[in-house]
Amino acid sequence: MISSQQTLSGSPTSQSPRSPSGQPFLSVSVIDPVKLGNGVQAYISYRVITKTNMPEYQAQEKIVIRRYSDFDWLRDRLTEKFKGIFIPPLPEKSTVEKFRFSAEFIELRRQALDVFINRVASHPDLKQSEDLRTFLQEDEEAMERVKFHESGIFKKKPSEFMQIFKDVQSKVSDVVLGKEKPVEESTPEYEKLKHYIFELENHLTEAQKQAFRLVKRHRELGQSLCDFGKAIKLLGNCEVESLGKAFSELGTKSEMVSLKLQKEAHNLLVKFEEPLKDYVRTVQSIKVTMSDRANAFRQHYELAETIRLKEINLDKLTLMRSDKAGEAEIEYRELKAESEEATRRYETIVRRMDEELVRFQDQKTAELGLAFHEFAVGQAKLSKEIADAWRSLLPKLGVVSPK
Amino acid sequence: MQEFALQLNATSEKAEVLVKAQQDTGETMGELGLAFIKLLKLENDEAVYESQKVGASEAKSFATAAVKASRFFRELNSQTIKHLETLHEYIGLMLSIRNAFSERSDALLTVQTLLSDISSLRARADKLEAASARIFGGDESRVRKVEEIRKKITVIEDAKECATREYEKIKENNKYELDRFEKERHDDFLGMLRGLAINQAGYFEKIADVWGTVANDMSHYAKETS
Repeated sequence: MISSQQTLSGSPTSQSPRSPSGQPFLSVSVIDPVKLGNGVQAYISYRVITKTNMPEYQAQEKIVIRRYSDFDWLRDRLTEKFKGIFIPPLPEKSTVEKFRFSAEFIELRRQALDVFINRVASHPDLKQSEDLRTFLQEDEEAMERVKFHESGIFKKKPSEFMQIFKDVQSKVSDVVLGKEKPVEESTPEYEKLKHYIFELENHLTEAQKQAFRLVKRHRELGQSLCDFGKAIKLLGNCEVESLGKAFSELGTKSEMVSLKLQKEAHNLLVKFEEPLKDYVRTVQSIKVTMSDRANAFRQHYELAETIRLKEINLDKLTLMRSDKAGEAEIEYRELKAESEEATRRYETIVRRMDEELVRFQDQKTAELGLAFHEFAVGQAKLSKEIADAWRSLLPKLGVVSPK
Repeated sequence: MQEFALQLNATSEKAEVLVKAQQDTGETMGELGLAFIKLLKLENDEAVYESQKVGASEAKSFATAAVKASRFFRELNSQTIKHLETLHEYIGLMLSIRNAFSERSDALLTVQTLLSDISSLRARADKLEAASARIFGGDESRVRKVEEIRKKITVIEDAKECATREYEKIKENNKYELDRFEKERHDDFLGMLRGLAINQAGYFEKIADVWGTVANDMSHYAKETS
């Protein structure tokens, strides 16, 4: 069951293959990277084009200018508001490479951003996000204001401060009560899943590392073949006629093959290594969700515990007809509401995760399959071209070929 | 000759770099295959969803192909090394040629030294004879000296004859060796070039087949481009 890639009429050619769009129609493209600013302040801006028929959007078509930190802001907001969903990953915030700004780096980043925004726009839940609409529609000044308002020294909302205090409280009581180990959800299925995700990240990281190395090897092989070709030609210059010509032909052929290797190195990087890196990042995003789930579980569990104790206490007070009973009743009701809220949050995450895991597996099988296919096609083409090139040389070397 | 030796060394150096690069490529290809074998083992062991099983079998075809390709690279490389050995051989041969040339010049130097000895001895003998002829009745000591010198000249002339024969022999040998060297070199180098080209063609054809099969098997993943 591979989700078929729908091509949308009029969508720019930079539509990434890894980002299917569904109904209703919301299509986004990230194009035209432009370097702005100088030196340390330099950054890349991108044009983000949105085409949609969704009523929540102000216009059917909108173009805005965005930079990496805007995408980062959006991702943070989604992570906050859609716990349980594996938020699509962003390319790394690389501050070192920023200075170099190679064309390759810029293009890979643009592609990754395009994939990111399209995954968000095609996710049934995420596409409804208000922050997404802000990102896609607001002009640059409004965007800056929104970002500034959200950031600042106090990044956390008041309720989150309360939670931190509560966390500290419960940690203290845990220590006091001798319960030092944090409460963890541990059903056999979830344990299995956790183990699987952690192992998956390890193996994928290894595969991605080797893929990157293979790209480098192609470049090195290409370079060494080019240098060898040049040297052979110089050697051939010292030779007499026919042999000298043979050397020269071999040298030229080497240089030609070297170019093919360089081209394939780039192809490997874009069509194989980057998808693998993307896969790794996605798994890391799953780990973030798992951490959110652990927090939600802990809150739900601890509140449930607290409720239980409060209930016992309340019954006692009621029985004794104490005047503290009224107060206790109010407190109990408040806590019960919070506990139900915490349980609901936890259950939402669990439900979402179950759905997300199915999506994830399907999507990843398709994308990895595509990456394998691209790799095989590239290598087959390269190898055949290399073989043909050398074979065409043989008659010039006086070899009668059986082919 | 000098230029040739220089370029030969340079090419041999680049050849070593090439061989290392080929080896590294094959190795990394193999490592990539192994990484995916580990991954597919995980998917197989912990498969919960159907798509995982599909994914595992795809990873298997891929990994197997990568390992196969890596083996072909290794074989190609060992053949490449054998062919490029020719360069090293000839670097060695260049050395012995240089030695042969210096032998020849040494031999020539010997002959020339002897010739100059002879002519200086002759000059001395002539001088003594002329001096003794002016003395009435002859000069016994001088005459005796002249006799000595003439004896010496004869000996040295013999030596010179030997040395000249030796030099001629060496010259003849050198020419013969050089001609042979040229012919063999021509054949060996042509053989090297052919061998290199045939190996590259042959092994890359095999590698192309391996990946072509995988590409076909996975063609259903190909994105439908507009």
